[in-house]
Order: sequence, then C-alpha cells, then structure tokens
Amino acid sequence: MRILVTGAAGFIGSHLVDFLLAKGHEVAGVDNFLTGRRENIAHLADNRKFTLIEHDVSEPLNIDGPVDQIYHLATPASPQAYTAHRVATIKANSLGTINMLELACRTGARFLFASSSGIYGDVSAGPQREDNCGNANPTGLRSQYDEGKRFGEACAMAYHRERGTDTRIVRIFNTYGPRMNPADGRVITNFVMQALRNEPITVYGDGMQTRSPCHVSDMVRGIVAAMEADFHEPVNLGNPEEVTIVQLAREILSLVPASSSKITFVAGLPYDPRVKRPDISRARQILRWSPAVPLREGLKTVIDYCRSAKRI
Amino acid sequence: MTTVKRILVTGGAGFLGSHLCERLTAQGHDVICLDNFFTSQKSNISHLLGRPNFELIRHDIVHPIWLEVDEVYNLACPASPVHYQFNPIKTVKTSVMGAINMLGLARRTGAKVLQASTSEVYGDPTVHPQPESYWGNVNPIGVRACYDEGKRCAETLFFDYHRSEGINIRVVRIFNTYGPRMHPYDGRVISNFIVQALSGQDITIYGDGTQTRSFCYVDDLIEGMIRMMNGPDDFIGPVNLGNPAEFTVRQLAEMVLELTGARVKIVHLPPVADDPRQRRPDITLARQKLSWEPTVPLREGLAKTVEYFRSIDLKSFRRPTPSRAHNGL
Repeated sequence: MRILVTGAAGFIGSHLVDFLLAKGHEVAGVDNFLTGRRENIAHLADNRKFTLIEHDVSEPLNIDGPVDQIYHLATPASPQAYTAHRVATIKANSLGTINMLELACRTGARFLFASSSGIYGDVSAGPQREDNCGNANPTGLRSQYDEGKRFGEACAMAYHRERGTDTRIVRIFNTYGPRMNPADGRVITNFVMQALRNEPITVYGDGMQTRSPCHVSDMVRGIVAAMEADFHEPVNLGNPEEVTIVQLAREILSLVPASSSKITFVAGLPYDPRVKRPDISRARQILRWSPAVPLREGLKTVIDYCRSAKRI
Repeated sequence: MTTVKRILVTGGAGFLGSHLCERLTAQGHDVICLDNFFTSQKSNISHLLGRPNFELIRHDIVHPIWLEVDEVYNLACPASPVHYQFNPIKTVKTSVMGAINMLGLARRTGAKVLQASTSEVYGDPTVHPQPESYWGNVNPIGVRACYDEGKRCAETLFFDYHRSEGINIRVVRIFNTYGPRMHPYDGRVISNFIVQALSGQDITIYGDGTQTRSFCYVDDLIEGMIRMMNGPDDFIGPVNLGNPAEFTVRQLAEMVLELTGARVKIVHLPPVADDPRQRRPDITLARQKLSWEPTVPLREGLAKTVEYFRSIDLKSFRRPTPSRAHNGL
C-alpha cells in the first residue's frame, strides 16, 4: 500500500513510519519541521520506499498517484511546544484535519485522526471511557490543543457522515520512548537526562502523583490496528497501569547504576497536573490490543536513546 | 453619531445579520454585508440595497477576502440543526476557515473583530443556568458536533490570535433568538410552531414538551452585540447574550396557538438526538459589563413574529434538502 503519514518526523510519527516500512509499505511522510526533528527520520534518507514531503498541513496538499491510507498525526504535542506555537497548533488540528480529509476524499484513502486524551480536558480521577464527553475549556491556555483535537474528531465524523469517508479516530494517552525530545520537559526524559548527567532527580511534591505511560512501540501497534479495524468511533490507546513519580525515578536510577544522582523532593506542583488514565476495554475488544512492553524494558530504550544520541 | 466606521458583517443577509446591518446602516455607518446565500435570503436585505452606505458582496468566507474595515461582525454560519445535519462539512469549514479568514483580515487591517458564538458551546449542560465559566458538555462525535465543536474551535482561534497576535477581539455567545426574518423552514421551534399554526397543521413537539428554552427577541440581541463591540478593550468575553426567562416547549406551543388563533392540536413526536433538556443563559456578566438586558417580553416578541410570518408568502420559501439549503429569494 501507499500510505501518507503527517507529522512523520515527530516522536510517534517517525516510529509509525518505521513500522509501516518494515511491513513493506510505501510511505510518504509529511512534516513542516516546526516541532518534528530531521534526526528522527535521518535513517530513512536512502530508503527508496520513503518519500519526504516538507509541507505545512494547514495548507491544502495535493499528491500525485494513489494514496491508500492517511495517518494524520501532525501537531505540536507537548505542553511546551503547543504553548510556544498556539496558532500553529489549532491550525494543524482544524485546517490541517480538513485538508487531509479533503485529500482522503479525492484519493479514496482511508483516514485516521490521531486524537488525544486532551479531549477529555480536566476530568476527575479514574479511567476515561470513550463515551465521556469531557470537561474542556474552549478558551483556555491549552485549548489550542484540547479543542483542536475535539474539533478534529468532529471533522472526521462530519466527512464520514456526509461523504462516507472511511475514517478512524484514536485517542492517544501519555506515550514515551526513543525520539521523545529531551528538551520537551516531560517527566521521563527529564529523569533520564538528570540521571545520565549525574544531576539531582527532581521530584515535585511528595512524588505520589501517578502517570500511566505507554511505550511507543505498543502505541504504534495500536494505531495501526485501529486503522485496520472496521470501526469509526474513537478508541482510547494508552496504558492503564499506573506508576507513581517516585517509582519512576527509582526505576530509572536503578537502570543507570553508574549515576551518582540522588532523588530530591522539590516543593510545588508537577508541570502537568492533569494526567489521565485510559479505559482500554474498547481497544481490547475491538482491536484485540493491549500494551505489552513492561515499564522497565521501555525505560531502557529511552536511556539507550539518550545515551547513544550523545545528548548528555 | 460621532465617527462613521467601515463595518463588515459576515452572514449579513441572515436572520441576525440583516437586523444588524439595518441597525448599523441606520446609525450612519458604512456597512459591507457579506453573504454566500447558502442559507440566507436576499429578501432580508433587499430594503437596504439602495442606501448609499450599504454594500452587498456575494462571497463565501471559507475563502479569504481583502477589505479595508474598522470592525468585523463574524456571523456567517449555517445556524440551524436542519442545515448542519445535512451539511456538516460546510458547517465545520464555515466556522473554522471563516474565523481564520476574518482573523487574518483583522490582523492585516487592525480591525476589531467580534465572533458570534453560540450557547451550543455548552452542549447538553449539566449546570443551570449556564455562566460563561462553564466549560460545557458537548459530544465531540455527535450529529451536532459539526456546529458545536465548530463554534468552540472558532472561539479557541479567536483567543489564540488574541493571545499570540494581539488581535482586538470580542466573543458573544448567542442563545436562542427569534423574530421577523427567521427562515420559516429553519427547523427552529418558534418558526416551526408558527408556520404549522398558520398553515393549519398540528403543532408537533419533539419529546414530552417539558424541555425548557429561553427566547431572546432579535432587537434585544442586536443591542447586546453592538454594546459588546463598542465596550472597553479589556472586556473581550466570552459573554452570554440571551433572555433568561425560561419557558417549556409546551408553554410556547400554547402561546403560539393563542396568538395565531389557529384551530390545530398539539401532538408529540419522539425526541431528537443530542437535543438539550434545558438551556438558559446566566447574563450576570452582560448586565455588569455592558449594562445590558433583554426588554421585550416573549408575548410581545411572538406577536411581532407571527405578524411577520403572516406577511410573507410561505410558498416562496423552500425547505432544505440534503442537496441544497434554502434558495435565496
């Protein structure tokens, strides 16, 4: 098949491209490199089955030849990135989604929208199910992302209902792995970099707040399974297993035995207090998917990546 | 009247837009009415066409437009469920691409731009009445999402352009509004009831009729919108504009029966998908900041609306179908 991936040089996008190429598909990767990084796809430079299209999805895209599937992942995705690129974020998710759906209509391609747990907004504790309408502020400081994703879902459904476009929606929860930008300010990369640099590992508050990170290889498997399934409504993809921040710090330290770092507790709130946990019953049932990579194994891949890339 | 302003009204030939154009033209401003006549009627603005300070442009705001103006009222959007359910793609595009194009115009010209948002951003609310701080309960994949999320996303765009680009914005959330020039076949409860009564058909209520609505007369609404546009730059909204007086759909049906004197029955049909149980604005903020509140009682406004519907030839209006919205008269 010939598959288009937007956000191809991003963290999840670049892994998705690798996965699809490994399956023998031809892949056209679209990225404007606003937050995507060239090094994430540098290894594909000589791959004849991969084409890079430098393009901003908020402009219409025409592409020669057939397109069988479109994965629309393009958007600044970390709180730091979407705060720095407010208008670009809302445009990538609104105009960008419309443009990619138009391309899907013209080419007859199946279309998958990479939505996010962000659509649930500020919800109370407990795992989120897909039928939760969420509690998202349309005019707040993170709306460019949360509302952008909600609108993108509404667009996918509009094209599906009116034009019969073959659409898919996945809601991606917290994901980690190699090629996360270490400068993004996410807790796992922060801890790994601190451990590798022998700096104190800073835990905010008592460290009992939790995360439920999903390894990127599991996530990519889930995204592809959703594309292959015959189901148009949103499917949560993420890891329901919770781990406390302190556990994360200890786990990372134990995987870097040479580190002289110590865990230090710092007053204040964690950067992102709104961490959500998925209910993945739908993914289990419809996609026969659940995360398989144990946290410790997953963390090793991040540590290896940060080491090998000489980021220390 | 001190300064004459150049004012662009998108959706200017629609129900609300035409009243706004009329008011601004009467105030002496230089008014540009922009409309693609997808759901609007030429008859709504034909009486303004000869005026030297009124200009009509047929244009779809999904495409950029270059104009020199001081103020923009962005009202263009298919606004009734019969349209957005037949034309969800047109609806999402108009909302979002229209907002982007008007914000782009504002950035180029330095114009102040007001977004006509809607109470639909609250979805099926769990809080009554709804203050502006309520974040809503909208199903992002429901049949009404094209409108609800389109309008929410437009608000987001307005705030993002304001925060990142310093655009001078205003956002009003318009609740149920009624009055002359509502389209007889827009599927709204008031026009439905009046058209049914005047054409001798039974009045149909979806559900049991205990769901409540609040109805604002169009003159009150336009006054609120103009006050918001002309208010201080540090009050950008969103601000609710609507009438907090609450009536059940059943009460409304009975009032229409009484005012039209029609000899028809009230009958019940199954409820429609995602139809909110209750919606009523909290207008504390508008009262405080704009010294605004509705003044026209429902009975009085309804009487004027019935009079309007009696004056038009219902046969010259068409019902929307999946392949077309209303044709412009």
